[in-house]
Amino acid sequence: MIFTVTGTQFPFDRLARSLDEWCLRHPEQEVIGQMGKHTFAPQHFTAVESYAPLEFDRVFKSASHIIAHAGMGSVLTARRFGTPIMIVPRLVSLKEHRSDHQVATANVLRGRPGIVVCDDLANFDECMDQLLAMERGPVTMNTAAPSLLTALQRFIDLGEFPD
Amino acid sequence: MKNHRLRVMCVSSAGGHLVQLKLVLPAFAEHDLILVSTGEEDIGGAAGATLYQIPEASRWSRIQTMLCAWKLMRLIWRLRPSVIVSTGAAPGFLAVRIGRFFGARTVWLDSVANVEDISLAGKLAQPHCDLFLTQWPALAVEDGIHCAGGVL
Repeated sequence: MIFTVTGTQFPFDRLARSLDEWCLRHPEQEVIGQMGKHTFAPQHFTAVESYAPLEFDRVFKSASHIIAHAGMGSVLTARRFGTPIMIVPRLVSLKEHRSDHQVATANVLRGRPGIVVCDDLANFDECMDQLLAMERGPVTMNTAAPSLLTALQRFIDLGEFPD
Repeated sequence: MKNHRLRVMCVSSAGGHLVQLKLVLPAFAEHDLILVSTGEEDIGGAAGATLYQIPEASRWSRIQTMLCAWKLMRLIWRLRPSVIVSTGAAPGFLAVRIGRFFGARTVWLDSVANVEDISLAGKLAQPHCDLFLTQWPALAVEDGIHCAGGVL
């Protein structure tokens, strides 16, 4: 099953449309989407506005592949479960977000294992091929960098931050 | 000061901010942890924390923001945390502002999504923070902005 997550803050109809067309051409694929408040109603995959947190985790965990907007929540959750993910940055020019930080996020994530960046939905099919060719990675102990944890710990316990 | 248990209140919006906040919670394992977030969230990955829900705040909704600030003020007044930690966004700024007023030490960890510039909420929070961290070394150039690694 392919799980699509586009955040619940703003609609992401551009991605929903591309995915819907792809699903029409790939009826053998099971696709579920948590699409937030979308205005476009997909015909060829199951779209839900929002899952409760525990249900969200369950669906996410059982997915073989993830398609998402370039939000860090999706990327970090995919890493936790070792699930390959394709990310599509939201664009301010299309009123998909309030800033273009997702473009910057996508750029720093490009080339990382288990991540496909799809900047242009004209390449959606190729990106999907790349995504589906990826195998699930190991489930990781998701934590921050040890240096960050140590810095926070030291600051809390001793009130100092080494410069 | 080892073995001195402190009350640490961690505050963030739901979604990516909360996912990141949960990744740094091990740093506070020796303390009493209070987790405050918007939206209905399970405490999975935050075992042992007391959980509180607050309304979402943003620049675009004054009433919501006032409600959020009011709820945070009551929580902070009642619980008197020694330290406030936030990963953003607007509710985190409010928590830092209010927490500072009540004498808490304040820590901001700017979201890893802010690659090219510090977030707006972060910029607002910075003057009220005792420790201000970005996750990108390239952004830790200004005085008072540090980087010690990130969640990626």
